[in-house]
Amino acid sequence: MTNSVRPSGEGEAATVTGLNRRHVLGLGASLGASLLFNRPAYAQGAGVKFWDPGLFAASADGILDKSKSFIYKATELYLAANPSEAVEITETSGDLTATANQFRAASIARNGPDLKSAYAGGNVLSFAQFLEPLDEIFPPEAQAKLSGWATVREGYRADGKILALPYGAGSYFYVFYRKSLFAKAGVEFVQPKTWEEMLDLGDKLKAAGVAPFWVCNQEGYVGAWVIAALGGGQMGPGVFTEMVLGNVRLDDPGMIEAYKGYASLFSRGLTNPDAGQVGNGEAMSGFAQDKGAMLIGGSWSNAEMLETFGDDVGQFPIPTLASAKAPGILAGGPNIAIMMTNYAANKDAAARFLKYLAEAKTIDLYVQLTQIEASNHVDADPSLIINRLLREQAELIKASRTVYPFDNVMPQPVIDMFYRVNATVFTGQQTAEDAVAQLQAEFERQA
Amino acid sequence: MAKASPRWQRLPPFLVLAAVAATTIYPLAFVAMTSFRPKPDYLRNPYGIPSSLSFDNYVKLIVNYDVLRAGTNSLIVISVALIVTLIFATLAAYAIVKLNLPFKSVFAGGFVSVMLVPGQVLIIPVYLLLSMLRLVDSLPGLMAVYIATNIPFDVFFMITVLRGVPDALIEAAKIDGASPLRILVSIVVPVARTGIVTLGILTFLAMWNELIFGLILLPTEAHNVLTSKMASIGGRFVSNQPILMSGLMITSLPPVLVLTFLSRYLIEGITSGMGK
Amino acid sequence: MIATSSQNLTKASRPGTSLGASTTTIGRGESLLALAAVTPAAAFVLLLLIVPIIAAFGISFFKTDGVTAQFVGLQNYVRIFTDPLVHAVLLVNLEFLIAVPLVLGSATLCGVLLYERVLGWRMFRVIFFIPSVLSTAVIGLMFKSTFSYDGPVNALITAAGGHPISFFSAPATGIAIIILALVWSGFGYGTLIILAGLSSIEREIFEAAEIDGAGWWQRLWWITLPQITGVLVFVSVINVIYTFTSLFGFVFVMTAGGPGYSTTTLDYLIYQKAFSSADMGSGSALAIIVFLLIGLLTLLQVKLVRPQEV
Repeated sequence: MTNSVRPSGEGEAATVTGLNRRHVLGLGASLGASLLFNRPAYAQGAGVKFWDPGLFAASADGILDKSKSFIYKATELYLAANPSEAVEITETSGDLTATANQFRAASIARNGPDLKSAYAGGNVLSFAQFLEPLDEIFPPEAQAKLSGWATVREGYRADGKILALPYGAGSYFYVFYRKSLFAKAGVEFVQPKTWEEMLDLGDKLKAAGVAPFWVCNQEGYVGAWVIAALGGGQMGPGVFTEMVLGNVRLDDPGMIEAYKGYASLFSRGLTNPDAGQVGNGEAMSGFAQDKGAMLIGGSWSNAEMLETFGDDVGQFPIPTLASAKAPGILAGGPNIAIMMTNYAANKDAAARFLKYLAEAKTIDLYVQLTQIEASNHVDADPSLIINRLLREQAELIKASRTVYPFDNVMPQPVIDMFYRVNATVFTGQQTAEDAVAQLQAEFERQA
Repeated sequence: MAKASPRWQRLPPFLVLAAVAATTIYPLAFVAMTSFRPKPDYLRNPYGIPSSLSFDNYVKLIVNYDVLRAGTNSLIVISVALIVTLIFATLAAYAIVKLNLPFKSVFAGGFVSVMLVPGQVLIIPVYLLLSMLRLVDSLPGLMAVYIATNIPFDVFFMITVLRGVPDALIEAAKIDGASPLRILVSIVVPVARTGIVTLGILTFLAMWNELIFGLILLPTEAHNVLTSKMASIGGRFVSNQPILMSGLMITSLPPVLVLTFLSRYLIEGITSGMGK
Repeated sequence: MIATSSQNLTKASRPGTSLGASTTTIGRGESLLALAAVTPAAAFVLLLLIVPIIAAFGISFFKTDGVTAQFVGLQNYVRIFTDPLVHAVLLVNLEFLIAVPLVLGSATLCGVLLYERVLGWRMFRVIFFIPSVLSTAVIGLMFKSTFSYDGPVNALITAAGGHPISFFSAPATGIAIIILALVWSGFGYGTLIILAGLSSIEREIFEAAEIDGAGWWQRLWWITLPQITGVLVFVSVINVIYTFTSLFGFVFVMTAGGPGYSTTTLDYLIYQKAFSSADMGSGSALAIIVFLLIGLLTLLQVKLVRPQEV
């Protein structure tokens, strides 16, 4: 039944449009506006159009800062070395849904960008029908120099077409702790090896009158990071990708154990009592106000953490449950990828720019300027990592097995429900069993 | 017509309204104050008294987000769209309420019912339509969308307003030989001017606060409009509250100015009443 | 005064014309002119709203990601009617309707007080409108901080000997605060519209009533409100539409739609479904259902007040 025409409604739109076009343009002219502002939509040959939803241009706190921006610097260098090329960077909204809407609408109309940065995983794969496979631009020998390809292959299959260029070694989830607050409580910090040990550590802090955890889980993000670690521990690396492929159920007993362990953090009274209503935007300010000795977060906070606390802050990976099948697994993975559209006006020029971005020294520039993730290139220069936290993280990633998180791979409606149940299970408003059953049902609805 | 009510009688409603007024002033004051704070100062004590204030946040925004250009774009789009919308809506409502319009209820019902459709589903169809008209990424494209999306509400509003204009007044002019257009310009509009200014404010706000179309239809930086641009500040897990507040101040200022300026007209309109 | 002048005109200037013929000609000319007057507005709406709405209606019978489309008949509708999530969210939306009479009541009260030039009315009429000017982000921030765990409301509760409440963590209190925020941010808008309506009433009516010795509440109920029924219906209709079509940005800054889906609105589901891959049809179907629902509510409101019209 599938046919590759647009649905009938849009067909009608086309006819009516044809009839009224002259009329509308006439009105525009009578306003005098079209003379001033009308121009052909997207003049062709304006160069490579690159859309970036704040992933490459923004500073550590999400603010666009052109003077420190990687993509603006990289483009400047590229154009200086290749004067015949043209590249135009456009900052789109940092809001995930808004930018996805924009890209989808523009892609259906086939007047979107040539290149676009996006979160790796589901956010790339769900646009597969608009993407140009990159297998020819990055042949096997080029692929061998970079890591992270598994997260951008069509259908997550090992033989799936490459839909994007993974950029950077990725972001991973950690627990940050304040050394001064441990000292104040008189509790010696020993890195917990299991989730249970971490909770015990929290009990000691609490007994000494120091709030153990500052948790801002209104949106369920904290839950997403914790479930990635605990679930990965219970069910092994690659488990969430297996779930998307239908090989593991979302209501697997391992998920229930993960949710139960996660909820015990709150039910044992180790967090702020309002963890369910504080938004993630308040994470840093609360941590700075000593509202908890530990904060669950990720490497995107590296710069802010050092800037605010200096030597006072330490980190360790979110520990797995004592019953873990894959203990000590590190949750996280490739975070950013760059995709090329299959309607790109100038695919050759776009491919050249993409190849430049994939060079070791370009990725090094990215690492140097952002300090939130290491390079995913084999020839990377590790001396460019100056952030202490990132240096520790880079070592850890090399030494650990990793699990790619649930919300990087699932369809968007399932992710949305995931965030919701993360918030409710944590505060005990929903049972773990109920939550995973709901997730499984939503996943089946999407299939 | 000064009322001779004694002062003690006028006080209780004043106190209630003043209390409500305080709750509307407070958030604005808080946002204004935070917008001048450096981030570290804010992090240490978000709700306390700031230890230092500076224009840094505004400078950062203006340098990196091209605020002036986006503001100019907003001004161009909204001024054209606003005037066109008000004129078209007034004409349509006049035809529906005061003239012998055929299929009157079809038109009236049509304008009201398109308001009932949740706009989110229209985004992609509208984008494709404008794309066919070659109006994507151009300011007139956004103007056209703002005109179309505001006309239903404005017609609905003007119908309510024009129903309040006495028919006797129009009949009189008609008998005097005035054309319907003449009647509209010289009788109906002056009588309904309070309503029209009110509608102007409401429509301005609707256009100014619109985010989605402004964002999606104008991707190129040179064409961005201010509100959408300011709304796109911030990332997925991270935020810089003081700069966000500066952005909010920049987007809140024009409506506050418009309101303060136009409220003079409104007060005049109300004071003079209608029954001249 | 108006009535008098028009009578004078009738008597004086138009004696004995052949009324029958001229009315028809004028009528036809006026009809054409009326059509011409309504055309620009109608053309914009037809092209940029009705065409897309027809497109959305068409899409609602397909399973489509925007590129490929598969006709599925009524399947999208059937799925929506059987989706427990939609039921839950619909109920939430109906709860938010409580805000509508509250907005109407407070706006009317404020409008009338301002109209009667209560002390400080010039200042209030600008200040009250500020919440409508502020973006939802500011309003969300204000309510979040006011009702936060260590915020002023909880400080009062603690001072009175109670335990602090995590307001946004429980559905009931979360919904109550969102309704409060809706009323707070919407009453100024309503006040402005009601003031505009009041300003078209002749003041003499009120003065006559005052002289008759009617009390304030009596005047409000028997004289003021009947004069502005149209405006009240307008404010009420607009608020109902708003509740169903554009609440989600507002709610999201406060509760992110949670806990769970307990404060999520229908327009959020539409937004999400309309753009998640391969589910545009389902989003459109939901929008059509919401359209019919609001249409029904709007008809009810109008019929309730003015049975003779529509």
